Amino acid sequence: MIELTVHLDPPRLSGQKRFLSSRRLQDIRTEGLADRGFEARGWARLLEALPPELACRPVTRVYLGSEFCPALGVPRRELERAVDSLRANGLDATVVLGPVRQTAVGGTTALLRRLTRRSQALEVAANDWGTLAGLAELGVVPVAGRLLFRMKRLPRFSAQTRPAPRTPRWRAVLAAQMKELSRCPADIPWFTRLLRAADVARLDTEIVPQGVRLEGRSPVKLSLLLPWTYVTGGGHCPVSDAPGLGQPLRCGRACRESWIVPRFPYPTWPLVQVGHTVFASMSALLGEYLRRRIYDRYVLEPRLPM
Amino acid sequence: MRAAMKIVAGLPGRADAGLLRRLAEAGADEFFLGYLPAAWAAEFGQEFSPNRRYRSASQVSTPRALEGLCSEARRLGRAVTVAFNEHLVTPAAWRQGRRLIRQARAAGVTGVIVADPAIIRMVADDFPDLAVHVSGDAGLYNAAAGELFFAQGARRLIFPRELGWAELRATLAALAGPRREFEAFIMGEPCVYDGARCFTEHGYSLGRDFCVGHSVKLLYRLGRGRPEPLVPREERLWERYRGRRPWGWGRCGLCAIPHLAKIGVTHLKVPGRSSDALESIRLVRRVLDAASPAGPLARSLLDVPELCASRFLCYYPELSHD
Repeated sequence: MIELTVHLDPPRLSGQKRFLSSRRLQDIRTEGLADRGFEARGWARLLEALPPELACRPVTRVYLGSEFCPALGVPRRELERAVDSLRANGLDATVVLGPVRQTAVGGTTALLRRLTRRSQALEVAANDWGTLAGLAELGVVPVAGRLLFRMKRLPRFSAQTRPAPRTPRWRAVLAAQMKELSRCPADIPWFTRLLRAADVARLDTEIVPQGVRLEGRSPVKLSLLLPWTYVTGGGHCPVSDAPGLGQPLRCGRACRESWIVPRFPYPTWPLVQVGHTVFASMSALLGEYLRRRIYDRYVLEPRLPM
Repeated sequence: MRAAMKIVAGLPGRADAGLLRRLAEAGADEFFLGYLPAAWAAEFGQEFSPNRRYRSASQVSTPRALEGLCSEARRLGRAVTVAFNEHLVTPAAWRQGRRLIRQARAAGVTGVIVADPAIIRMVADDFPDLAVHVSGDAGLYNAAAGELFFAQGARRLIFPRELGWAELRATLAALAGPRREFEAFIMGEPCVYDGARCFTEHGYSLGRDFCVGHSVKLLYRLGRGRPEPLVPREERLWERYRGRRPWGWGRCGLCAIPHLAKIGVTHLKVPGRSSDALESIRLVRRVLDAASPAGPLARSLLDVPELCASRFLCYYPELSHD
């Protein structure tokens, strides 16, 4: 049974009253998405690709927050209101944290303690190892976020950039590259040992074009985020209103109204850069990934969490 | 100021004993390098790398070359570590990686740099005589991560280059302890994105890599009228000084050296696997060994007043005018 969840921006939750009461995907308001039109198209393609029996299933959980940009952290009161609102409508919450720097550890811990008092079995998706290691102690359900799913994105294979005689040896090397670059960490013993040590039972994953290969059964549950795949990013954001690249946190959130489509000099997937974070659209692979039986949760993103 | 910190310098694939000697004379105390031996290349090619470099120019590729470098380093009293710092180490990579590390140890390497926290314990258990250094690409964002890495067997933690001064200081205050080493970036090649969360690669041709070919200069705010370029003033300054930057094209933390020493940073990193670190090392050594205050000395050595004033290149801009 696949659990259907969505990743929403808490400030926009108040505009989703109809969805909150029906919990139907079709009731998620998308009008506000037109300001960054590429997302509306991605969302429409995702809804089309979902099997009908899945698309009409009620959403059970909402992911809240941005893992990519520290300037897009959700203020405490707003997050509390969002969690309350979800609970009142019978929805569970997963709070998404970006990498938590030492100067923010105290505030984050206090926030999570407050939230656990409002919501039993609150999930928290951590995106750095230190935070993940301490979540269970705080009484939340730890999830390894997508930034800890460190499979290569847009890897270069010999076939793409280095024309060479297609000898048997060349083919063997290419096959070995493909095999290793598609190896999912979810059944690599040392990776899962580290997750188990932190009481982590779930890994949030994304579509990667080279495929996701498990050699055995994954001891952790796997979520799949759709339809965007994170490629790269950083905290020193050139879109920030800061008077230089060195002060990324004085941010007027210009990324909410600007983006670029990077032109990569090699054949690759459709890319978009929002702020200082680059994503690839994986709409073309939705069908293939939706047929995989390794996931028990889909996390659908009507809008990039930026 | 005469700080006791050590300078750690990267070596490119073409490095030989002569280059290592010149870097040591310039002030390098330790070296690190990428090693991609024939057995690895035969199975995986360069594209599935052991160390986040995907071009042969960044890799030492023969045991003989590695032995030559280690032998010269030993003669000069310097240590060499090998990078095995992919974000994710698969079982097949570990099978080849163990051979690679064994070869490197036999050649004289004394440490291994790893970025997959899941293999710290394995490297420490299988190679107890080698020091495990945790790469900045592991994502050391807070003290809890540092404690986790030390508990797995790390001896040294390398801070991600994107950590600011306040974060570095707070993390170190919670982590400092005997027999613990901490390394921070000080000069050299920058990263456009953050290494610990950059999941693409440097394999495409030089100048056309994802991060280099696709510069921030392409960013535009889409308004009602014409697109408005978001190129910061400092980026234009940077271009103006092209060719007048003796230390290459990287960022700089020279002014911060005394502060880093005070909070417990033990090693200063100058990357060089894909660049020439010589001038950067000379500059860092001059500041480390000088009796005069670091800030004014650094600014006079660099002689790029507008760039220094803009703090555009600073690793720690809040310390840059001390």
